[in-house]
Amino acid sequence: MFSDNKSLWDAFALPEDSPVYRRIGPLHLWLWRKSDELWVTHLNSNDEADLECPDEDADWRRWALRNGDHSAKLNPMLPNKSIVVKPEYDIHLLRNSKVRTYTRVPISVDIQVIGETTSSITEIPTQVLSNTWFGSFINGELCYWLATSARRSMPLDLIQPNHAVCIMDIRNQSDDDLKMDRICLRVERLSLFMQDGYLWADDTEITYEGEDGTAQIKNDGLAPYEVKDAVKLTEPRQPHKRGLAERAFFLFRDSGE
Amino acid sequence: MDLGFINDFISPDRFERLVIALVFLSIALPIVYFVRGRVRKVVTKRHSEHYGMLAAKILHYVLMMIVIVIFLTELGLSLTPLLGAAGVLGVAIGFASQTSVSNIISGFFLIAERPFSVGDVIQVGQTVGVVLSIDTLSAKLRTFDNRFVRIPNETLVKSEVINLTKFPIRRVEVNVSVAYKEDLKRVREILMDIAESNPLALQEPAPLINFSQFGASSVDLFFLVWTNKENFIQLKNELNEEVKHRFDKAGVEIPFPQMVLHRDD
Repeated sequence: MFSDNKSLWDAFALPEDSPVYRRIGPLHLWLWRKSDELWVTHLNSNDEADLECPDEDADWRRWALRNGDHSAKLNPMLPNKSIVVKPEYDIHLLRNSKVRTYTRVPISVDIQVIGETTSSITEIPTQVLSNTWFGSFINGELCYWLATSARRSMPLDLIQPNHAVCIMDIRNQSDDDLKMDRICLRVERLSLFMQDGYLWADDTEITYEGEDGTAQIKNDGLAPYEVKDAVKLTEPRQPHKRGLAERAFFLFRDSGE
Repeated sequence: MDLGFINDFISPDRFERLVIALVFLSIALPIVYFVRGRVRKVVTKRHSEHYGMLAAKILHYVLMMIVIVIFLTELGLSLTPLLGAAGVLGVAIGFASQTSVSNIISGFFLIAERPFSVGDVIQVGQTVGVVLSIDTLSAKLRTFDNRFVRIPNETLVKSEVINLTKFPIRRVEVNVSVAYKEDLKRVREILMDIAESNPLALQEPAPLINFSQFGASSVDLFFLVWTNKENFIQLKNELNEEVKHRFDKAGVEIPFPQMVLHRDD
């Protein structure tokens, strides 16, 4: 099954006579070249079966192509906003302890047309994530919301084609125990790697020093040690910043009433 | 007709000064407008539209003052009597234009206190609109039905101004009424599911369902859901429609006012 996933991210021709169909987890995607235009539509459905034809009332979007734009490529991308990860059960981290957790993050698909040059035309999430607010009522940032079981290991059979595995190494160097009920994962700073058809992001190292939810966050931009030979597919949306001190743990104390 | 007095007045020396002053003006004015535009663009990019407009205005007035002073000096006019006259005139005008002066001073308070900025949505009395500019005498708004509203600065200082977009998130309040016979636990589950399944609703701060009152015909609840300020109206509409749809589907009765009459035979 996963040998097919490797080819998901390869370039493919855009014939004129019929639409090209791709399924990435719950995302069903159709691309159709009609003379000098590219028509794109998609459907998010948990239906396991392939849907060779889109609905008659599908909502198509159109792009005017350049001469020679006769092939396309899908590129996996991590979401365009940080993700607040909510573990199924709170994790308590004792002083001077460390934990390595694995989270499956639904990716987005960047559609690129290939001619003399390659151009991105649109990005479609494979799964529509809810939004959440990370911060106070006055300041903060809009993030995606993801409930997770924050596993301590990641069996390969749990990874779907639309998932990227994000790994967090969390270290508590404060004088108190750390209750992790929500963690902000800065996915826009992560690269994507592929090995055997599975997508992995580079490690996020979070060191909590007891500063009111802020922590030192590091990304090394290298494939995690579980998949040392993985090939880099995508660069991070934002460049790496070494030793960045940012809020990583949730501190929403006000109930809003 | 004897035009000799004109020749006497426009002497070669005066004519030369006039030409120099006009040339100066024709060069200086475009430069002032160019610099004002650039400063506005740069400050807006680095800070906000509010500060961009403010910096451009201050710079414009200062530069125009300098240009006028140089222009008059080039013409050979002494500024001392002009300033004296301006002082006397200023007192007279000051008495005659107390409202304008009040508006100008109120404008400074608005700029210093900064209760709202250009681009914010504010409510003053019954008027709701987007702030287009905060000027010397008044602030200008564009209402959502595209009307132009000018509100004097003094009014803004004196009255209650609600800034609807000051903070990044807002809470949508939906009043929900259900019949007395309904199971409130089930109603609560449906409402929470509506909030959780709408991508515009924020998961944190968490949605709330608060009891309001035992009404005349219904049990009244507040359904409170947070969203980012840009999605406020859309989420409000979607929640109301979805509540109606889901209640209909689940057979939850939304009662209307009713009266039970007993006939005493």
